[in-house]
Parts: sequence; structure tokens; C-alpha cells
Amino acid sequence: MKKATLQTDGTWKVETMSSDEEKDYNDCAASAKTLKEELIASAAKKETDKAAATTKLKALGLTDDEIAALYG
Amino acid sequence: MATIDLGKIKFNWRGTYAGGTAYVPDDVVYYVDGSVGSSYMCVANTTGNAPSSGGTPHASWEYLAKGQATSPTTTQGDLIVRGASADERLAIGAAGKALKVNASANGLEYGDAGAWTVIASGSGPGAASINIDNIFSDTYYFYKLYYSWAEDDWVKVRYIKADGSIESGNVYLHSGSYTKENSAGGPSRAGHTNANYGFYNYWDSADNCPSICEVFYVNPYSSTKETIDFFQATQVGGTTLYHHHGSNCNMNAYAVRGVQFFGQGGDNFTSANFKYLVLGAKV
Repeated sequence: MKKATLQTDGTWKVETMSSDEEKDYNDCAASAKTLKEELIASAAKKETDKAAATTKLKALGLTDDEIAALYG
Repeated sequence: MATIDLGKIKFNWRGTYAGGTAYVPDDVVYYVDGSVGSSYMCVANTTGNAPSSGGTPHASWEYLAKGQATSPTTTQGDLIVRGASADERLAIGAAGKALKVNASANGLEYGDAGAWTVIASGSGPGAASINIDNIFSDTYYFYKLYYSWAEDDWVKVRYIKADGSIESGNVYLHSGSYTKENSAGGPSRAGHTNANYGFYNYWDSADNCPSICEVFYVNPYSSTKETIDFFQATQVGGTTLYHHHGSNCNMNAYAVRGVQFFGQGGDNFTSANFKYLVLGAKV
């Protein structure tokens, strides 16, 4: 895996990552993947909860417009 | 009828003007006024009065043949500008500089044009991690970084300290929110605390639809202020359009001179998929 550093003359100095740098890269990727999965799961749960809440509100007699007004 | 031979009628050539010489009408001299060498004809008796000064003849003299100033330029790209009393050389400026009126509004100089100055720009080098280094300094206070990355990946960021080392500790705080269209979910927030990186464009974009991002920094090179950035990015993943905006903060006060970008899964920043531009402005 390569890394590159911008030089003062505008060119790039490209080097091979050290084993520690490559491990750090992969660790960051893994933690970011977890973070993102949690975020996606949270967003999905929010959608599921919203649908369930809408069903219950309709059962109570609220119209779609009234429910939309509640959600903002 | 008798013929009188008058001989040759001519001016009285007196050579180079000398201040201690008495001149009478029709004497002709050579004199250099500033950098302009000319010939002059005396029109009234005079001693000690130079034929001209600053390009204006003395009342005792008139131009016979006025010379041309020699060029003050010495180098390719030099310009000739009018100085306080005569033409002067304006040396060619440094690369990327523009010609502008000086602060006293009485001359020209080379310098930064406009509010924003280009500090760096270019394409990716073909690496999974890139250090956009030496872009922050004491020269400017405000900075903007623009980039586009046509890759199904997202950009994580770390700050590069003044000594060139990269901050990889758990010091980054990120707070942002996003909206998306043509998909369920959102708007919502995205963030983390005490992570060892920040991030800019968060959602995956498509290879044929680059993520684009603008990042704003204020005085990142200050050694007594924490570095903070503000960004907004947009990208398309599949048929969903995402707009993400937020901030990253390094919870330590020290000078930052650049940023490190890296993605996920070894995706490279290449000349084909990555372009960037860094601008700086003074207060």
C-alpha cells in the first residue's frame, strides 16, 4: 500500500507504507466501517419506528396531513 | 560680378558639455541628462547651466537631436515603469504573482492578487494515503480546501503537525448532519468523539459521480489554538444524493501545517480520480 506526501515544489513523494502505517490504515477502516454500520442501523431503526408510530397514530384517527405536521 | 566664397557654413561643435566653459549662440554640445544622451544648440550666452535637467532644456539651450533613454531592463520578463522622475526597471515577479498597484498608489509591484491566493493544487499521486503537506503557515489566516474524488469511498482526515508528524491519537471530535434524497432515512446526524481521525465526505460516492467537498480552516498554524474545520460535501451513491456538512476538531492546541487524507479498503487517490485546490487569505 502506498502513501504520498506533497513536496514544496508541488510534486508528490510516493513511498510504501510501513507495516505499522498499513496496520493503522486497516484499523481505521475497520473502526470506520463499524461506525458507519451503526449509523445506518440507527437510521433504519428510526425509519421502522416512524412507520410503526404512523400506523398507531392513524389508528387513533389522525389524518396523513396531521401526522405529517407532527413530524415536521 | 565678383564671387565671394563663404566656405562651409556649420555649427560650432564644442564636444561634450562642460560646466566651466562659456558657450555662445550656435555652439553645439553633447550632454547626458539622466540616461538620455542628446545634442544641444546654445541660443544665449551661458556658463554653468547644464543644457537640460529632467528632460527639460535650459533657456540657454535647445535640443538639436534628442536621444532615447537606454532600457533599464536586465532580465527577461522585466517591465519598464515610470518612477518618480524617470523610467525605471520593475523586475519580473515570482511565479504565480500578479501585477498590482502598491499601497501608496504611486507605483506597481508584484504580489498576491485578489482576496484568495492559490497555495497548492493538483491531482492525486496514486496512493492510498496522501499528505497534503506545507499548505498552512503564518502567511495566511483563512484557508479553503476544495477537492473531488471519483471513488466509491469516503475521505477520512488527520492533521499534520508543524514538525511533520501526523496526529493519529484519539483527539478528533466530529459533528455533522446529513440529508439524502431519493432514499428512505435522514435527515440525521453523524459524528464521533475521541476518534483517531476526522472525516469529510462520509457517504460512498460512485466512481462516475465524484464526491465534492469544500473545507474551511481558520488560523490552523496557530500554536495556541485548537484546529477546527468546517466542511460541506455532496456525493451520489447509487440513485441517492447525499449532502453532508459538519466540523472536525483536534482537541489539542498546536500548529497544524497540513492534512492527511485516506479512504477505505486501499482505494487510491489517483491523477484520474482526485483533484484538489488550496487557497489562503489574509485578515
